[in-house]
Amino acid sequence: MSKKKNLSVGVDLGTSNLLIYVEGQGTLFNEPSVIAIDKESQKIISVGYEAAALAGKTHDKVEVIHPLHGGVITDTQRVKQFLLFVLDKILLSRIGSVTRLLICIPSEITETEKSAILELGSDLGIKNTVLNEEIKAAAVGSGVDIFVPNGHMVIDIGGGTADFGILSLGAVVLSKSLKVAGNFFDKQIIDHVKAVHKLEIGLQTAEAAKIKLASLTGPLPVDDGGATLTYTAMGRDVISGLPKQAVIEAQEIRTILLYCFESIKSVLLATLEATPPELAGDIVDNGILLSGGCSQIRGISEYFEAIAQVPVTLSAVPMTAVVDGCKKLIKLNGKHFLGELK
Amino acid sequence: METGKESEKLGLGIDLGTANLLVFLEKKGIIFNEPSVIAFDRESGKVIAAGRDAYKMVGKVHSKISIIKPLKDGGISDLHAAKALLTYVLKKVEDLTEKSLGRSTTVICCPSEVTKIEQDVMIDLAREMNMSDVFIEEEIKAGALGAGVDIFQSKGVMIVDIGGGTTDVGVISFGDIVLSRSIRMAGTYMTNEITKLIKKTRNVEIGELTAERCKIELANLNPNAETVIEKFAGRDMVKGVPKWVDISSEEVRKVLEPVFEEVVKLIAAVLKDTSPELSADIFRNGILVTGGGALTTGIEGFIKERIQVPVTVISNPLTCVAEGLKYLLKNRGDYRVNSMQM
Repeated sequence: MSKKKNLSVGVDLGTSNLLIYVEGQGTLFNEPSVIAIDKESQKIISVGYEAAALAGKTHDKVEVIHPLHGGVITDTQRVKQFLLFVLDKILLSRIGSVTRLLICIPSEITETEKSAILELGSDLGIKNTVLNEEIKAAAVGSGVDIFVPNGHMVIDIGGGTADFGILSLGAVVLSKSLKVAGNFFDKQIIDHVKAVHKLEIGLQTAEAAKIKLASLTGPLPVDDGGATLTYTAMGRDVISGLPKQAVIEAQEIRTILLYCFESIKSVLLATLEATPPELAGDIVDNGILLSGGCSQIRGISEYFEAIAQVPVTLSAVPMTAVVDGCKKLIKLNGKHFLGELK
Repeated sequence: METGKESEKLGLGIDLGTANLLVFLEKKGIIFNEPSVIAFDRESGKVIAAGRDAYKMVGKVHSKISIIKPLKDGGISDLHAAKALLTYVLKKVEDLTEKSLGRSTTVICCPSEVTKIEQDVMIDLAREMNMSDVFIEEEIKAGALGAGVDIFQSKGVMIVDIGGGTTDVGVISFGDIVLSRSIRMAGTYMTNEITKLIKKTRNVEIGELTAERCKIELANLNPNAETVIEKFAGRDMVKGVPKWVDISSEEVRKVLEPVFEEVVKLIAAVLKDTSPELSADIFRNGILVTGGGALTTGIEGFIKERIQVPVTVISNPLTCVAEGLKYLLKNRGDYRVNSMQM
């Protein structure tokens, strides 16, 4: 008989990427939160990278779905299917031995959304399901000791939401969330290209343009030769309907991003404003920690430094900080405090 | 080990101050000297930390922890928290449980002008902890004994105790207090004044711990002292962002001076009511200053200039009350028994 082992699993259920950590085995899954299903049988054909590559390229027998939107579960059924499929794939039918599930969620989600996610755990047959705020996991995963009376600020700009939080003594003191993040930027880029270049492009193209050209402050990104980077986007001409290509300048992307970041800026200021003064004092010392995919935008730390007037550091592991944090938080099992102070 | 019944009796002295809690245990000395602060887990109601550990959390906690200061202005404002604090301390430091407290003699000190109700609360506290034999003494009496003054002679001594919640002034002769007065204006009040100052002049809000640090580092009552400027962090009230501010010792002196003027007024009022024979003694022996406020630089000069009597700051201003309890335990506060010669 195989040994019955109790497994703990940490899940970072992000709008863009799903990351799964299995206790003792590390991060076993780190792929886009995309599924492709056969419309007729409603069965999953592929998930992750494979499914993402299909986006915008399928025939009508296959549907590509992003089961999460804006950091929330839009389609519980699909998310469950998705999680089950992935867990089954990585755990090889040992799903029955999973006893603990830790799911990271954005900061400002409603009780209904919360209970929808909690239900997910019980539907999978896992009794002990704990929810944790992403920013807390991100801070822990980036190596910040949050279990001491010392205030830290974390900004996590992911795919669906930008989260702002103040942490102290092992839990979130206050947090705010905004549904302006990676996906929103992509959509803005699509709209812009459509309006200015009269060219319709797909999400994948918009994302690629963003990754290559994104910058907020300082000199525009240059290639090895010193010339300013541009991105040649291919798509369909809106007027003629023919395939066409257009050159997107780095400055265009910057203008779009700066516009989007206006709302991020005001929420950041609102968060700082609501911070208790003692913790504000700590933040002057400790600075702000940035994590999430969008923290890789060039010049983002300088941009935030200019607003908040405190040092801003980038997480060394922006994409995996949350799931790395799960590793440590699983041991805590939802408690905010790890025993005695000393 | 002694086995006699008498030797088993515990002698316990408690200086339950607004700022600091000191516990004196016979044969052991001072076993606890930390801030009177306690931290509870809101959900379970359990004590998470007490004393210095809890003090570090002030102004930095999230909604799952509540920080309570059981005393306010010298009196117990939260009996439940005060009991929890004392129980926690006795249990943790000396492993004293209710059972061993049942055969103890306990002396608790209180400020000079507390009401009968406030005194009763102190006794209630001890009763609730199963302490059978309790008596209450005034802090200044214990302070004088702790400072090494032989109060059992027929010689007048004046004591000024500037603590956290109250400032007490008293005249002691022949083993007991002749007259005493107190005002509810002391360390905590000064800290609040500093917070107000920075709010008013810089539009920056600072936390309690920061204000306290500012007071300790910059307080200097000598007008000719060199101005020292230090940096403190807080939150800009207009912009909401964290900010450093430069505070000079000159400004701090200006807000502290009115408070110390009040102390001087109190001393003058007590001196006015002192009988001429004792006045002569005080004129000869001077005034003793104790309590945390005695650590303010230049306090001797400040009082001396206004009262024209020699002023001495004792060498152990923070612990003298607890040390004095040793003598009070020996004679149960009886003026006829000179416990200093026992």
